[in-house]
Amino acid sequence: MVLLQRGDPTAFERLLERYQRRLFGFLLRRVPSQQTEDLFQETWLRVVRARESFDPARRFSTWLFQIANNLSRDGARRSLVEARAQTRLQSEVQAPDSATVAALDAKLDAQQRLALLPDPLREVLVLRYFEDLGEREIAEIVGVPPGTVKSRLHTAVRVLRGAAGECDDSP
Amino acid sequence: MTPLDACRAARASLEDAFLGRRVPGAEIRAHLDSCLACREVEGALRTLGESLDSLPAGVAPESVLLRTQLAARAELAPHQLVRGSAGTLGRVLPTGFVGELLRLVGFATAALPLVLAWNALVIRLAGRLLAGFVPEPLLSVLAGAYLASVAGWLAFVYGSIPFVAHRRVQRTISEVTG
Repeated sequence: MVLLQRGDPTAFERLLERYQRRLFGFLLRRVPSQQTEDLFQETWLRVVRARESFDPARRFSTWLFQIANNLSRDGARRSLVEARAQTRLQSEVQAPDSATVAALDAKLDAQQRLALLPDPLREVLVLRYFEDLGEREIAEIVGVPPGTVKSRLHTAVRVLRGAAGECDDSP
Repeated sequence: MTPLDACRAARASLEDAFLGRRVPGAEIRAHLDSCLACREVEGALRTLGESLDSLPAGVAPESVLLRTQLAARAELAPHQLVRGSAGTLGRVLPTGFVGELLRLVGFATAALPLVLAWNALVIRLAGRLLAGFVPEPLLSVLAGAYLASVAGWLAFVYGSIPFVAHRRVQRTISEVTG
């Protein structure tokens, strides 16, 4: 990244080569598939445009995911389909019904279940489970305290396994 | 620790282990051996993990990589031009400054004929209105003063364009990086 900041024309190709798999995988799980390719390209362009503002003391991957995540949030806001899905999910979460959960389990594959997660839960889950990032790094990327990340992660897991409304008082 | 607390702690640990792709510790295993409900949670998490792990890893298509490289090169090109032509100055200018500067100068230049035409009209009309009761030499002085003030304003506006461009580019960068 420092080489890119100094204007080395080959530095971008090397960065792209090194991080393209992780970034593409992240976006694939983070946003609807039809937005993945555009957001992938846009993220790299933002990296190029904002390279002078990159602080070399930070990890490049954190900065990269932060840009990608911000763009994904914008994309998610624009997605009417996702908004509808979230509304549907919220109503299911608020009124947990074993028949509904079972039906959901049967109908939805993992990709769909991820897509139905509310955006704040999906972003932390994807960064933790698939990218194997720590809570502090995720907190830096999404801009919330580490405690909030932890709480969202556990909520995301419960929602995904169909136990969003499960009471801890029922061993 | 009550059974309720034990289950709560076990489930939190199971979820932590799931998120970190770790195997639950011996203490949790001992609890699982004696708690059917928590074993069910463990089973559900294992199924969920298998389901998530079955998702394709995803590789960017070659066409997308190529498109990205070309777009990045196009972004880098003007900056390299600035570095080459301006030396030290190029190193302190933020990315995108030249493009923004050219854009703003373009807008300002496009508006210039309109501004000049308007001021010419003002001088002409004012000259006709004042010609009857203001002496000719004073009219010339007034016209000269007006033209000087217009020139001053234009110098101020055009002179501030580089600063406006710099500010706009910096704001865009800070928005991008959140």
